[in-house]
Amino acid sequence: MLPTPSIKRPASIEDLLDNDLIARVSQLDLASTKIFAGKLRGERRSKKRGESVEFADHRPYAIGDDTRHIDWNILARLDRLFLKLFLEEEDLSLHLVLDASLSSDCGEPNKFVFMQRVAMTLGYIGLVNFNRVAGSVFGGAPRSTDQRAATSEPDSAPLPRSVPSSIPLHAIRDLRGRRRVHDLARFLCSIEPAGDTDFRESAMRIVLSRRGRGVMVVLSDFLMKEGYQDGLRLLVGRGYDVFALQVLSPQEVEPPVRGDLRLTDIEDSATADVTISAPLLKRYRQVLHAYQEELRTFCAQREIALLCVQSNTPIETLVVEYLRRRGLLR
Amino acid sequence: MNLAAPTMLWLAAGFVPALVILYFLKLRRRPQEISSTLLWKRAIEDLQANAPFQKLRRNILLLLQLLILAGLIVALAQPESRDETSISGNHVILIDRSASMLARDSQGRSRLDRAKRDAIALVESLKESGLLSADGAEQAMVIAFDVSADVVSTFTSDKAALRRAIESIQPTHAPSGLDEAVKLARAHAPIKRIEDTRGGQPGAIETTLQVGVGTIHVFSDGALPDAPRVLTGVEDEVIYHRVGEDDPVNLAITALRADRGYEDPALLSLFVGLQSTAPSPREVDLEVRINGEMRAYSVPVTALSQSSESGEDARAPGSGSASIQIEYPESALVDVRLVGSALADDALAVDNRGWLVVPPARRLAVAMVTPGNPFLSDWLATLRFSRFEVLTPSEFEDAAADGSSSEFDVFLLDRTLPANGELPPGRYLTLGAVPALGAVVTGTSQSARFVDWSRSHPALRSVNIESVLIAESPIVEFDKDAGVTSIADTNVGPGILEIFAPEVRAIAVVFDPLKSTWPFDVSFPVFVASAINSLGNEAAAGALARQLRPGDVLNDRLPSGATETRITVPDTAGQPIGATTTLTPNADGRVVFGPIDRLGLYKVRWRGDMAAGDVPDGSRSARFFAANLLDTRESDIQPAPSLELAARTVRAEGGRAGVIRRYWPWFVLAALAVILLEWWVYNRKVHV
Repeated sequence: MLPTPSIKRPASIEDLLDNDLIARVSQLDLASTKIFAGKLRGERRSKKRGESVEFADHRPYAIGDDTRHIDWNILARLDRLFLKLFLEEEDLSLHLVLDASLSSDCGEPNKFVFMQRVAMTLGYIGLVNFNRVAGSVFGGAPRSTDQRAATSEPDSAPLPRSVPSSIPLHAIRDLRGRRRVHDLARFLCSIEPAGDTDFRESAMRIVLSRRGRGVMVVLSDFLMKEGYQDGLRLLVGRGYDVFALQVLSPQEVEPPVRGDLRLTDIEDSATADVTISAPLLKRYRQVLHAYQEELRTFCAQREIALLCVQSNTPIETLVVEYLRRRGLLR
Repeated sequence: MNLAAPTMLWLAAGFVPALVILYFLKLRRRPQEISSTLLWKRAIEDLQANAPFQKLRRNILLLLQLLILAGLIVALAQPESRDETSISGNHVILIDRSASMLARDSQGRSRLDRAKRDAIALVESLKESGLLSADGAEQAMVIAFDVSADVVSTFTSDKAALRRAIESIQPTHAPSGLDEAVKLARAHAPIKRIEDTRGGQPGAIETTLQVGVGTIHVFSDGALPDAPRVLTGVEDEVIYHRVGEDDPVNLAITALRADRGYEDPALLSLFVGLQSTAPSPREVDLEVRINGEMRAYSVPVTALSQSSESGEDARAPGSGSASIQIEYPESALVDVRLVGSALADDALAVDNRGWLVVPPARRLAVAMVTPGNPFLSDWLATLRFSRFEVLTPSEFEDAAADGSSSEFDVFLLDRTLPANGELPPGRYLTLGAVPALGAVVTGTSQSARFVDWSRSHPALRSVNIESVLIAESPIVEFDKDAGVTSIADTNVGPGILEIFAPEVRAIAVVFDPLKSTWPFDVSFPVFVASAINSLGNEAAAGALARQLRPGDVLNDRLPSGATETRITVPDTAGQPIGATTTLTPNADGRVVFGPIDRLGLYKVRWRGDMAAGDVPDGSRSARFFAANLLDTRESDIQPAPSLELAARTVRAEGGRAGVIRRYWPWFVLAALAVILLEWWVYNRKVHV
C-alpha cells in the first residue's frame, strides 16, 4: 500500500531465482486445462492426432488417409476400415504479463519484485520443459542503470502501429530452451515500474502482438481505476488459457495507517481525505473483500483461473503448492 | 436552586455556535502517499452513502463537546441553593482560641485547627460577587476569643484576607468566655439611621437603631461558662459549630495550693486537685520540682472516673486529690506536673502542669488595736507570732501616720476604726466595726443568728457558727462591685464581710462579738486565728496576688525606688526564660503587664529594694508570679452539645446547615468527566 521506502531491485538471475528454488521446481512442468496446438513437436499432448505412441481414438477411414494408421485388428474382426489415431506431443506457449505501473512498486515486500520473481520462476519452468516463453511488461520504464540491456533486447517486439503508443509495452518473445533463461532474466531485470497504465490498451497490444495460443499468466494487483474487465476480456478472447495472479501487499490487506490523512494516489495523484477509524478500517476490509470477490466472479465466468496472493508469500509455497493446486503446474 | 450569575448563560449564545462552526471546519490532514486510492474511495463512499448512521456517529463527539460546554457555562453561572433558615448578608465568625481548644483529637489535630478549617470552609461557601457584578457578595468578620476577644478581621468579602485572618489565630492558655466576643461583634453591627419626617423637616436624623449584626458562627467546643449571660440581637442568627470529638480523655490539675503549717511554718503542704474525664479510674503519678530541683515526690493519685449516677445527661468528670508535706523553709518555686502512662491518651496537655510561688516560712507580726479587751489580747499573746503588740486607737493612728504600721502584717481592730475612717494600706481583721469601704450600716437588729457561711473560706473552713446567738447586730448593705463579699450571712444580713480594696484587705465581723454568745463558743478563737493567718500569709507572700490565671492582668506593687524593671515571660515549658519586656512602674511602684496568655512562671526583676517574699537575682531583686489554668470547666473538654445563651439555646450544627450550597464545582467535575468520556470515544473511533 505505502510506497516501499528502499527497494533492492533484482539485477540478475541470482536475485530472481535461487538454487534451492531451482531444485524444487525442476521437476515441475506447465499444464493447461485446455490443450492447444503447438508449433513444434514437444513433450505435450496435442489435440492434433499424430504419430506419437499414445493411442487416442479411432475414426473411420477416408480416402487419402495414410494407410499405415489403419487398425488391422479391427479390419480383421469387423471387415471395416478404421484409422488408429495417436496423440501428438507438442510444446506449450507461456506468456507472462507483468503490470509495471507505479502502484506495483509499493508494499513491503515490494509487489513488483515479487511479480518479477514469480515470472522468472514460471519462465524457468517453461524454458526447461521446452515450452515457448514470451514476456510482456506494460507500464514501467527501462531501468536507468541497465538501459542498454533492455533496449538491446533482440526479440523486443516493435510496437504495432495501429495502437497509440502512449503506454510503454516491453516484450520478449519466442524464448525456448534452457539456454534462454538468462535472456528472460535480463529482460525482467531491465524494467522498473513507472507511470500510469491503461490495462485495456496494454491488453489490446499484447493480444495483437501475440501469436498462436497458449497459457497466459497475468501478474497484477488489478487495482485499476479504469477497470480490469475489458483487458481481461481481450486477453481471454483470443483463446488463451489465462491465469490471473493478483498480487497485493500485506499493507493493502491490513492498512497500517492511523489518524487524519490525505491519501494521495501514487499513480494519478488523486486524493482522498480519510479519518482512519476502526469502523472505516472495517469498511475498507469489506470493500477489499468485495473487490476480490467481484474479480473472482468475473474470472470464473470467463474460465480465467484466479489466485490472490500477498507479496510476502514465499515463492516456493506459491509455485509448489498454490499453482499446482490450481492446475497451472504439474 | 438559583443562579448567582445568570448573565453567564449568555456565553452559551456565543460559544455554542462557535463550537459547532469549529466542528465543521476541516481537519488538517497529514498527507500520505499510497498505492491506490481506489479501495479507500469506495470505503468512504460506502460510509457516506450510509448517511444517517454516519451523522449520528459524528454527532456523538459534537454532543459530548456541547455537554462539556454546557457544564462549564452552568458552572460559570454559579448555581447555588440556600436553606430557608439562612440569613444572607453578614457573617460573624467567632473562633474559640482558649486552652481547651488545644485538645488534640485521635488524629493529633488540635480543636483550634479543626475550627479554623471549618471556618475556612464556611468562608469558602460564602456567596461571592458574580464575575460581572460586584454586588451581592456576603461579608464576614473574624473574632478570636478566649476570656478576651480580638477582632482579627473586620467585615470584608475578600475570602483570601479572611482565610489569612483565620490562619493567623494563635491559641492561648486562657479560659473561654463568649460574652465579650459577642459584645464586640455586636459593636460592629451596622447602624441604621431613621429619619423622622413627622416634624416636616426631612433629613433630620431622629434616632439611630442598631440592627442585627448578621449570622454569628461560634466555632467552639462549648466550654463557655459565661454563655448564659450572652445576649444576642433578636435579628441575629447564632450557629454553633461544635468542634471536638465526643468522650475525650483528659486528666488535669484543677486545684493547686501551698500552705505553710501554722504550728511549723517550715512545713510546706501542697494540695493538688485533679480532674479526669476518663471512663474508668486511673493511677496518675505526680512529679514535683522545687526551685528546679527534681525532688521526686511521686505520689500515685487516683483520678476518679466521671460519675454517671443520674443518667446520661448529667455527666460530670471525676476528681481526685493529693496532698504532700515537704519540709522546706525557704521561698520556693513549685512546679507540679502529671506524669505516667495514664496520660497516654490525654487529649489536653496544658492543664497537666501547675506552678506555685511559695513564700519563705515566716511567723506573723500582729498588732491588736483595742480600747481594752484583756481577754482577747491575753489569748492572742499565747499564739506563736513573731511579734504581738497591743495598741490603743491613738497609738495605731500615730503609727499609721508615721508609716511604722507597715511593720505589722495584720492588725486586729477590736471595736475601733481610725477617726478619719480611712484604713492605711494593710491587712485587717475588724471585730464589731465596719470599715467604710463599700459597706454601709443602715440599722440595727436586736437579734440575729448565722444562717449560712462560706465553708471554703480559709477563715471559716473548720468552724461551725450555727449555734451562735447575736444579741445586737447592725444591718449592713454592701456593694458587690466595690470588692466586698459576705462570707457569713445572718438572718438580718451579712454577718462577716471580706473586703478587697486597692490597698486594703480586710475581714470584718460587723457585730460586736461581746454582744453575742460567740466568744464562749470554740469556733471563735479558731476563727480569729484562721482569719489572722489567712490575712497574714497573703500579706507575707502576696500569694493570691501572685497567682494568676491566663487572661488576667499582672498587677503588683514593687518597692518604691525600683528601676530597670523587666518582666520575663515563660517559655513553652513554663520556665521564666522567654521573651523579656521592660516595664515602667507607676509613681507608687505599681507595674501592670498583660493580659497574660501563657501558663507558667513570670519573673519581674528590678534594681532596688526587696520586699517580703522577693528573692535576690544576681545584683537585682526578683519576684515570681505563677499563671495556672486551674479551671474545672476548661479542663472538662467534652464538647457541649448546645450553647445555652441568655435568650435562646443553640444546638450544634452538624455541618454547615443554613449556609449556601454551591454546585459549580460539580458542573466543572461533570465537564471534566465528559471530557474524559469524549477522549475515550475519540480513541475508540481512531484506534483499531
